[in-house]
Amino acid sequence: MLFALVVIAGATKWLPQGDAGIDHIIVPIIAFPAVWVAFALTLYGARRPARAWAAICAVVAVHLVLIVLGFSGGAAS
Amino acid sequence: MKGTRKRLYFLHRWTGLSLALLGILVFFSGALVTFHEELEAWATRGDRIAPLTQIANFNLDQTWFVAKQGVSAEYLHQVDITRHPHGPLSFFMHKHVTNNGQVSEFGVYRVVDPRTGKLLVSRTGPRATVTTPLPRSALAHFFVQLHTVLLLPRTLGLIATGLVGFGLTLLIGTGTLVHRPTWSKLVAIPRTHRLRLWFGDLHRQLGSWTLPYTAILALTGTFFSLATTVLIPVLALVAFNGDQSALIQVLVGKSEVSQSSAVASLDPMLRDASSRTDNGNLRFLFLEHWGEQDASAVFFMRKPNALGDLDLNHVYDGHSGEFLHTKPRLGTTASLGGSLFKLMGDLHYGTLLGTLTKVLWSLCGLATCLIACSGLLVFIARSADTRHPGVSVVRWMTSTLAGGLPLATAAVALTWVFSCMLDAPDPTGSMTWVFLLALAFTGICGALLDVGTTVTLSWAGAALAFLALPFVGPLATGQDMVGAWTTPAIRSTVAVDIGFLTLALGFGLAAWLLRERAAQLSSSSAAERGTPHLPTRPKQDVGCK
Repeated sequence: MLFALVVIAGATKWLPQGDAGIDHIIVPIIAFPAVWVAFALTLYGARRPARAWAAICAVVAVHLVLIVLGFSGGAAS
Repeated sequence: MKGTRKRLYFLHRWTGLSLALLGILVFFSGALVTFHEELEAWATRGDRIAPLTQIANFNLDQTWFVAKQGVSAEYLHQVDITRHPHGPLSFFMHKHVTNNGQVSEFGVYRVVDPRTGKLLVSRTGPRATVTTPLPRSALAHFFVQLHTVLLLPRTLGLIATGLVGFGLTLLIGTGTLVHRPTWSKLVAIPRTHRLRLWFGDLHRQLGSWTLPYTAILALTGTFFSLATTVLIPVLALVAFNGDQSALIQVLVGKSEVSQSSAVASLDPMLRDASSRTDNGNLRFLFLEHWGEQDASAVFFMRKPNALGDLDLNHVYDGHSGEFLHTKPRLGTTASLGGSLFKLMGDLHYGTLLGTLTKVLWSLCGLATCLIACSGLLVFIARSADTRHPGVSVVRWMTSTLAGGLPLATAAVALTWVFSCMLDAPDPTGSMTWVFLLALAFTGICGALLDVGTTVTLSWAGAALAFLALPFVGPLATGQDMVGAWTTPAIRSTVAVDIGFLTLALGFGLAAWLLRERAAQLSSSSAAERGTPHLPTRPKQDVGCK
C-alpha cells in the first residue's frame, strides 16, 4: 500500500493538469486501488518474484525521485 | 504454476474469511442504501413537502432571513443549504477552523419548514455533531452510516470500509485466477444432491456472474472511502505543501465574479435555476464567500428524467445574481478528471441508467452477500472433521451474518417506527442497540443450537418483520393504515412497500426451503469431507448434474 501511495503521489508531478487543472490530482486518486491491486497480485503471484520486486521497486523509485525533486524545487523557490 | 495457484487459493480463502464480517455488512447495507432517497421518501409519507417552487407564497429570501436571525456574522460567509427529499430546508452556516493541521467546519445548523417559515431545529457546533438527521430521516441515515462508516467514528469507519474495498479487490483478483471462470462453468447447473456441493457451485457461479459488479464496487468504494481520509492528505502534502484547503479549492473550482459590495437575492436565482432544468428541484445550494468580494451561489438542481434523474449545477454571481455558467461536479470546466469522478459516482451508486441499474445494483449487492455466506458454509463443511479453532468462529460468524443481518435490519426498521410513534427526538441510538443486540442474539443462538436452525428461524423472523413494515410504517408519521393506503401515493413509496413485501416473500420462501435441510448446514457426510480443497476442474463441474 505504501508503494501505491508513493506512485500516486509522484504521478501528480508528471500527469497533465487538463483544462480544469484537476486531472493530475483526481486521476491518481481514482487509480490508487487499481495500482495497489496490480502491485499486490504481481508480487504475490509472480513466477519470478525477484524480477517482479525489481520492476516494482524501479517504478516506485522513479516516483520517489519526482516527489523529492518537487519538494526541493518548492524549497528553492 | 500449480504452486502459484495453490498460493493464490490460500490467499483467496483467508482474505475471504477475514473480510466476511465487514464485507457482508457493507454489501447488505449497500443494497438497501441504493434506494436511500426512496426510503427517506417512504419514511416521510403523510407529511410530504412539495418542491420549493410549487409551494404557494414561498420565497427563499424570507426563509433565509428566518434561518440567519441571531447568527453571528462570522458564520454567514459560508452557507450550505440542503433540501431534504420531500422534507424541510436545512442551513449550515459555518466557518473553517484548523486544529493540529486538520481543517474542520464549525457553525450554526438550522432547519426551517419552507411552507410556514417556522424554525424547527437550531444547533451550534462542529458539522458532524450538529447535522444529525431529523427523526423521520433517521432510518435511511442509519443504513447510510452502516454502509459508509460501519457505525464507527467517521475517519476510522472510512478507513475500515476502504480496507474492505482493498480486500475485496484482492479477493476478485485471486478468485478469478483460482476459479478461472469459463463459459461452461458459467452456464453449468449447480449440483443439488448435496448441500455443500450446491453451496460450492453457487459460490463459484454467482462470483463469476457478478465479477464485473464486485470489481466496480470494490474499486469505486475504496476510492470514496480513502479519498478524504488518506489520499487527499497525502497528495496535499506532496503537491500543495500540506495545505488541504488549497487542494480542495482547486478541485471544487472558483468562478470569476463581478467586484461589488451588493448582495444578490436568492429567490430569483432559484426560480431561474429551476426553469433552466425544466422545473428541476433544488438539492443543495452553496453560498460561497457570501457578502464578500468574490461571492457566488452554486445551485445543485435535479432534473426529472425517464432514465433516472439528472443532476445539474448552476453558478450565479453573488453580487448581481447573474447566471454565470453550468458547472461539473469538480472544476469549473469539463475535464477528464471531472468526467472520471462523475463516472465513479454513477458506477458506485448505480445511477448510470437510472432505476434500472439501481435495481440491478441492489440485486447484485444481495448476491454478493450470498457469495460470501456460501463461501463460509463451504469452509464449515470442509472443516467439519478438523479441530481447527477457527471453525467455531466461522460458525458463529455465519449464524450472525446469514441469519442475523436480515433479522437485525428488519428489527431496526420496526424500532424506527416505534421510536417515531413515541416522538423520540433521536431514534438512532435505540436503532443501533437493537441492531447490535439482534446480531448478538443470533450469534448466541448459532453457538447454542446450530447454524442451519438459527439461519432458518432468523429468516422466518425477518420475513414476518418485513411483511409488517408496509402496514405499520405509516404509523411512524401519525397516519392510520387505512388513510395511508387510500391517499394518493407517489411512486417511490409504493416501490419501497413492494420492496419490503418482496424481501418478506424471499426470506419466507428461503426459510421454508431450508427447514428440512438445515441440519446439513452443520454437519457434512464423510464423502463430502473427502473432497479436495482446491476448486474442482471444469469437467467435473459441468458433468455432475
